[in-house]
Amino acid sequence: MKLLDAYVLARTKRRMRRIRMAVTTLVCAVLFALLLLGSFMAAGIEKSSQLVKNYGYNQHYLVTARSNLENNDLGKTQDTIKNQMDAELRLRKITVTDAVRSDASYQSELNRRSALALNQKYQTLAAQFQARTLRTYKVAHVYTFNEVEAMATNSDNRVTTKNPDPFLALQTQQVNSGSSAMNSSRDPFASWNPLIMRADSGLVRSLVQPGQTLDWRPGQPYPLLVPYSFLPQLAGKNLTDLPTKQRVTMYRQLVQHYTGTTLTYCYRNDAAQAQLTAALQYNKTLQVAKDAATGPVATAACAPLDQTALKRVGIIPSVQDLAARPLFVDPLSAPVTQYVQFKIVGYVPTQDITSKDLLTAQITGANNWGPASQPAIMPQDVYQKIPLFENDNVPRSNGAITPATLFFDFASRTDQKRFIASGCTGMACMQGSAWTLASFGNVGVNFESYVYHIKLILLWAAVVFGGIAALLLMTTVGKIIADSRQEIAIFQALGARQRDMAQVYLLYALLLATNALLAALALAVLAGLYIAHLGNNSVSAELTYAVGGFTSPLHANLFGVEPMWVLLIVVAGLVAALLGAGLPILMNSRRNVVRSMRES
Amino acid sequence: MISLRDIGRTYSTKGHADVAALQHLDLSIYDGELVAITGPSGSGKSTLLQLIGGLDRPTTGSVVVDGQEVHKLHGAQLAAYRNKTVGFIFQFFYLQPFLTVAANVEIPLMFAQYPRHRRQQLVSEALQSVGLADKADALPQQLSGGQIQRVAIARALINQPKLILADEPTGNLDSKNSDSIMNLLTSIRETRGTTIVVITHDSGVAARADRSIAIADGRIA
Repeated sequence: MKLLDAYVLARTKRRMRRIRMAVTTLVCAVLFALLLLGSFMAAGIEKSSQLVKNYGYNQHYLVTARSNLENNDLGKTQDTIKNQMDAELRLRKITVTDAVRSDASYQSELNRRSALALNQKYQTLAAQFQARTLRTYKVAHVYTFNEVEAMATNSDNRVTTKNPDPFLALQTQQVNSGSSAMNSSRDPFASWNPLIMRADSGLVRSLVQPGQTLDWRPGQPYPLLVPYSFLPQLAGKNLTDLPTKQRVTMYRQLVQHYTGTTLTYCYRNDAAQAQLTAALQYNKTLQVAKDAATGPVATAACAPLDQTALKRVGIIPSVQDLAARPLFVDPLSAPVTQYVQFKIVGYVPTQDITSKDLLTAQITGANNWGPASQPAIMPQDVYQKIPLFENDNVPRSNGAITPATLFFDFASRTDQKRFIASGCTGMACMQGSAWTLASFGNVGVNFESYVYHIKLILLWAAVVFGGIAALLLMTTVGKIIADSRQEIAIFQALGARQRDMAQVYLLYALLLATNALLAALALAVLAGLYIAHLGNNSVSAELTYAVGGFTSPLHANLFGVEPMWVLLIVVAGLVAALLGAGLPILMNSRRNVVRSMRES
Repeated sequence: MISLRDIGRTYSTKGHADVAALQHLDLSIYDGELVAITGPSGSGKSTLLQLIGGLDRPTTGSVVVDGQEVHKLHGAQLAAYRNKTVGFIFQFFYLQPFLTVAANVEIPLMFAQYPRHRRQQLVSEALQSVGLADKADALPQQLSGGQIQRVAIARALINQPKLILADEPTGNLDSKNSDSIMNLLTSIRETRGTTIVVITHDSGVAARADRSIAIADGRIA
């Protein structure tokens, strides 16, 4: 029998069972539409998630490796160092007592030497670890990243464009009214402590804004990458409560406005800062006591203090006070106060821990810089050219040095995953010289789990909805064919072969399934486009915010078509219909013609 | 043309005793004969027709039609026999309600895989021969009972079979239409030389046959 003839006969079945066919078509269409809609959404989400590759660090498969050496070895190291220091004091004929060990300079020196020792030990371990990693995995680059200790740990070293030395004003207030001054509305950076860090240029080059550069020549401001969250503070705005779309717009304006801006930073080392604090305190005491005999110490904005005046008021011990010489002298005790200029050349996407949106918070989690949640970053090679900072790159008396973090840039996601899996987890990281490994910066990697879970949900939905639709299709087609015994018998009486009957009814089943699938496609496309219409803007805004794509917004589309998925769903629907038709056709066409005619 | 030898057909029903619809029946029908088979309900008339038409298979005996051992045919051969050698006319017409008259008549040609233009030609001729050329595009429900049966006859004739088996073709028709149908069948027999076997309760119809065979209790009475 010719296919066209089979179609003519099959078409009449559809008309004969119009209501049942319509109901089945509708229900199947809705179920298949849900399935297709899921595939459209999944494809849209997956494609949109790919867009983040154009932002931030997404070109890299980075892993941060941080040593837990300090946690594990500090006590042991300090015991050894204490013994050395005690021996030095004994050589100087100083009796070591508990009081001596409690002395501030003793503790300061202990901290400094501990940090130095740990740092040396760390360097050795890091070199071994790096060599081992490079032997085992294919790594494109190894970057390092260091915290700039002297500039970072003191929360009062602030960056501003408004007040050339905000420290002065703040310090004055702090002395007067305690820590509440830290929240003073006079200083937009009051609640922000920028940690200035140094990282290899290669690691942060993708964060540089168009038209800006990480290169530096003497006399120019130092290039600096600041966290996006710094911008509202520079502008004195609070964007936290704004809707994401509006927040993105605001950030875009701020990025355009502040890119290339020079920031003036009043750099003051520990010694200078200690002197300033003491001088301010002294001046305040004078005010309270109304004793102007020795006069106040002059504290001009970001200017070195007059050392003679400090000696006169006793802030710097005089020669006569040499007996009070500390047990250990801080090697960097010379005070340094001077302006330093930075230029904003780019922005660091950082973990948004304040976001009310869970998705944004999760996505930005890929940008967690470990010790610093909101770091400002200076290129390592620039940093090394600045003698001022070089001098400070030594463990200080106020605490241990933070060892450099290694950034391994793997050639593939597979290697990256394998490497992370080889690291420690949970409490294991607190023992021995374990390394804490975590993927870094690649927002797309964070998306992987989302996309995976979405796909998993869709797979189950496919099994459920597709299964129901297929069963419905099978039973309906089966029932209709079973009800067509007489018709089949008549056709057989007129000379139809089993093959002809199969052709007619399989075609009929395919017609039914095709109708349902066409309707499903139309429904799913309409629903998908509508959902995309509703959600694209907000999702785009969220993603743009999450990846920091303020200058080139990310345009997500929740509606996408993955032809292979659509094809699979369509084929599954057609196969279900054919399977549903197959058995009843076989049974009916083998029945006795007379019996079929008589029963019907 | 038709030779039935020692035909027996027994129906087995679960939980009931076997029923013998036909027993030791011998019958010969010659080319171009118009034979009426009569008998009371349940006598085995329809079973006899179905055995000749290859719709059923005898429990015993042989059915030979136009030299073909029908009782031995299976699958495609049996389908070809039903399609080409035999034309069926049923009491209840069994037309496809949503196909036009022309399409209904065309069905056997579809199974015979005739080319489209040839089919249209044959359909046109068949409808003309039954006087329904102007009803080709009508649907069955738009026709009278007599016209519907004419369509069924056209469908039976379309493959120009050597044998037409009509199971009470006038059973659902009034006397005027019955006459008309019988006239048509007689005319077909005369013009084409087709052998026609008609089952009927109607003595008027039987009277118009060349031969009338009465069956009772599965045997020729």
